[in-house]
Amino acid sequence: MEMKIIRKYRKADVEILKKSIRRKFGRIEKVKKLLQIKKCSQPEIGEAYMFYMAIDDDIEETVIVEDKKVFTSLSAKRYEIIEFLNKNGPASIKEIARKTRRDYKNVYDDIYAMGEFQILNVVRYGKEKVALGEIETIEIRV
Amino acid sequence: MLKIKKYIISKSEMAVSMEFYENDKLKNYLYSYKIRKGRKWITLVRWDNLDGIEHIDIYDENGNYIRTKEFPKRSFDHLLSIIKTFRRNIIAMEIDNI
Repeated sequence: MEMKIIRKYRKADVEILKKSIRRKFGRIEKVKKLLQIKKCSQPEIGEAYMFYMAIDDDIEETVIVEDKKVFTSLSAKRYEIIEFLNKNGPASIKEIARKTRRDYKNVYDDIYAMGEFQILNVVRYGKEKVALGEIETIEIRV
Repeated sequence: MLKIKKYIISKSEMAVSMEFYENDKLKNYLYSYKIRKGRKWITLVRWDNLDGIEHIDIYDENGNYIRTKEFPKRSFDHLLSIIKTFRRNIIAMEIDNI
C-alpha cells in the first residue's frame, strides 16, 4: 500500500521558494559560482541550482510514500490545513494558526507531522516556516 | 519544466529525482538518496549531470563528501531499485561499479 501526492507550485509558491533559496545561497550567479568551486562537496547547491533554472517555469512534484505510518499523519484537522493552503496559497505556521483560529502549537505539530512524510513542503523563510504548494491529488494505492 | 519525484521509503529515508526539461527534452537531472538525521536530510549518494558529465557522488553518513566517479545515466526507477535493495548500506557497496 502506498500514498501518492501530486503538488503544483503556483506563482506565489515559487516566489517564496526563490526568496528562501536566495537567503540561503545567494543569487543565481553566486550559486553558479559555488557549483563550480565546491563541485559536488555540497549537494544542496546542486538542488538550489536546479530550482533556479526552473524558477520561471512550471514545477511539478510527485511524492510517493511507501511507509504505512503515513496514514497516521492525516486527520480531519490536518486535511483542513491542506484545504486552507490550496485555497489561500503559501502561509506561515503563525498565519495558518491565526486564520484557522487554532492554537499555534497544534498547527505546528500538524504541519511537522505532515512535513515528515513530505505531504506538505515546508521551507524556512526568514524566522518563519512556510508551507508551500497546492496539493492536487492524494491517492491511496493498494 | 522541473519535475520532482520524492520516494519516501521510510520516515528517515527517501530517494529524490529532479529532472529539468527544456522544450520537452531532459537537460539536467539529479537523483539522490537521502537519510534523515535529526531534522536534517543528508545526501548519501547522488547521480547528476550538472557539470555536463554524468557521474556519481558518494558521501558519508554525516554528509561529508567522499568521492566522485563517472557514471552513465540510468533511469530513476532503475536507481530506485538499487537504493531499495541496499538502503543505508549503499555507501558500503561499490555502488560506482554497479
